[in-house]
Amino acid sequence: MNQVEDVRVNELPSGSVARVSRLLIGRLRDLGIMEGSLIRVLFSTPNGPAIVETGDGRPIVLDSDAASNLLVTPLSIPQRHRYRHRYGSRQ
Amino acid sequence: MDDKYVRRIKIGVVGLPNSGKSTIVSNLSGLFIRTANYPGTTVSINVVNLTIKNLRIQLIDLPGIYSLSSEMPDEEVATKEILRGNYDGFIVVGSALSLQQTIYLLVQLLELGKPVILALNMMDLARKQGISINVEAMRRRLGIPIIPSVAASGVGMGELRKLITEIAQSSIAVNTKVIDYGPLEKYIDAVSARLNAPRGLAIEVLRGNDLLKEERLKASDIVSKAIEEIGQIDVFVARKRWDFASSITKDVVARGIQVNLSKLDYILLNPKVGILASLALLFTLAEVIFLVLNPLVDYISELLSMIPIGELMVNVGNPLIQSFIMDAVWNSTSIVLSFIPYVFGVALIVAFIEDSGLIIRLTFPLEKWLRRIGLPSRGLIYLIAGVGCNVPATSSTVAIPSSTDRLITALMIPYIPCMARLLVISLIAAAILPSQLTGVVMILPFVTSLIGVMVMSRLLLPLLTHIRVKLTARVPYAYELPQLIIPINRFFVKKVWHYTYEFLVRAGILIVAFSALMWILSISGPSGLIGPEALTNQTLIRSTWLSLIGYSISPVFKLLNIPWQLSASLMYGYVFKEVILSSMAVLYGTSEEGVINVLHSALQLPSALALITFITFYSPCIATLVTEARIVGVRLTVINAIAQLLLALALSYIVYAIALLVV
Repeated sequence: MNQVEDVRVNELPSGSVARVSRLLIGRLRDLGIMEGSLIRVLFSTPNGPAIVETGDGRPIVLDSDAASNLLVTPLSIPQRHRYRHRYGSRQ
Repeated sequence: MDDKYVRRIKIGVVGLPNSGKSTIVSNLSGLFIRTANYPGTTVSINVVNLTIKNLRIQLIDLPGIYSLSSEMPDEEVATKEILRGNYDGFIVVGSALSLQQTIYLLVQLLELGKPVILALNMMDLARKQGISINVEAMRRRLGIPIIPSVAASGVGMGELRKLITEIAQSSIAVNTKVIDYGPLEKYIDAVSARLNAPRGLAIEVLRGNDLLKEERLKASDIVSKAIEEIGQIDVFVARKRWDFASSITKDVVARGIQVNLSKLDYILLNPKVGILASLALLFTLAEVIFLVLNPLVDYISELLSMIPIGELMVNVGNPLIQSFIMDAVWNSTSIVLSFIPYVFGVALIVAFIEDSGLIIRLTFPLEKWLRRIGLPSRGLIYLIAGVGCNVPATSSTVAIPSSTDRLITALMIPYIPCMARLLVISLIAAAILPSQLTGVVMILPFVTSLIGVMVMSRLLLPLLTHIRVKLTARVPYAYELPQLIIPINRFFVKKVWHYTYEFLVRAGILIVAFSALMWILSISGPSGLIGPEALTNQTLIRSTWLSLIGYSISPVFKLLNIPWQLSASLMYGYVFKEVILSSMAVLYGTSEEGVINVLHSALQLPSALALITFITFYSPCIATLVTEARIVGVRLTVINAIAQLLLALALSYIVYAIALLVV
């Protein structure tokens, strides 16, 4: 079985769906981003801020620090980004 | 019942950031409270008193929070008040667009054991998005009064007033045990009994709320046992609360919730094209507003020219009094009157940026780049909010938790042109450029100020470590994206009116008073009183105080082809930016129409652009400098003011040189 590596949410391209694996800041829990919950990346910039959609449809803005502290397991990545995007190419 | 009997109650207005708490308080009290469509508008407590029948109510408008655990200073202010303040009840302001988040917070307030009213705000926006909430079912499930409201248009406010009186009569049911925490329950009861505290406080102690360290110490044995059995209590409690919020939402929301982003959002938030799209939107808005307002400017000028002030002055025998009324009072009053369309236009743009949600759309694509030069995302929000007025934006920086971020933001806000500076810029633009290009010039200060911020923050950031010893690490920031809306409601109209009125009254008094002072300086010199003829005689004016002061700095601007009268006026702008134009009027001995004509004949396009650039940067007003000094200290304020002046000079020379090459 392929082990999918956890990545920071701002490493995923916009449109990706992921499962939250680890939160390094507690504030996100109060915004409905819990370990195990599903999120969709609406906008993201490499190592920069991101906007994710929670399960109940709320867009949450994460600044660069918050986005870098949210580790997720990618579940789906938009087709157009699979080969060209930064995902998988940087740590 | 005795009519004279007055009961006093204290109600806390608690809610999610940006849910409309201040709008509700403003609605209930009739007072103007500054509101805006971005999180963190309220960073301190607003106390408002109102009377309903024979009940005196103290409404405490608290900064927005997502939960009772606070990570930001403004949230800490709210949380401390909620946990420690002696409240008779709470109004929880929730958002119909974020029902789960609302319930998550509501539960925490309910657990504190005080009467709670839920004002479910933004019902109109929810309906527009196809979200249908069964409020009656929600009332049954939660056992508390819930009012569907639209604060911006006053819907639900009558019912809310009625319910507030019921808090005083203790007829609102208190429902503390909304969630069964299972294995944690016994520990909650134990902590509650040990501390003689409400259930909510006991849960917060178990969760490890930083504000309750003392209480946690008193119940440390219970907390240790709970951790041993349950593990991470904060994660456990958060999960239970979200599960509960989710189950209620499933029961009461009849139609599905979708992500509330518009098509425009996808363009504005796009990291690649977002910032250009936002600037294009602002430019279009500024263009439309100023094109529409231009005929009004001409109309007011025409009206003013119809007043036979010269003929009226014939009856005044004393030439000194005649000159004072004409040159000091009338000229400055006519400037204030002619300001009206411009002030209104700038107020409209500023209120639109604040209320439409555009601030967040502007900050998101920029954040990554500005982060590289040390600016935090929350600071960026205040930076753009500084367009309204630098003073409240600078004082809002206290809500930034990291001292490095707070200092650099407070230092950068003065680089953002405020309403007063924009007003002077718009008048220079109106004098020099065809009316179709006014919008371009209104955008120019924003673009140049961003460049200025990028340059200066990079230069000043290393300095902070040398000057300030206590610098704390950056705190990650996350928040719910506010809706992008076209803010056409009575609160928006009230806000534009308030901004226009406040500015005109404040600026009006300042301008007339300062003009009187300038008049004295322009008819007297080191040799004593010269007389009003100095105003019209270019040889005599050289001997006046005003001219001597103005000449001392004129060499700096000579290369930019800016006449000494204009450069002298800029110097007086150090006191208040509003007085730049009246100073020009006094120095040229002309009225408001005359100022525009004088600017038109005295400035070539490159000089005008250089002047606009200089005004954008050269210094904030005294009020901003005082606020800045309170946040960053006097030493950094002085360094920053000098740096601003040098940057203003350098950039105006660059703009002048480029304009000479292009034009």
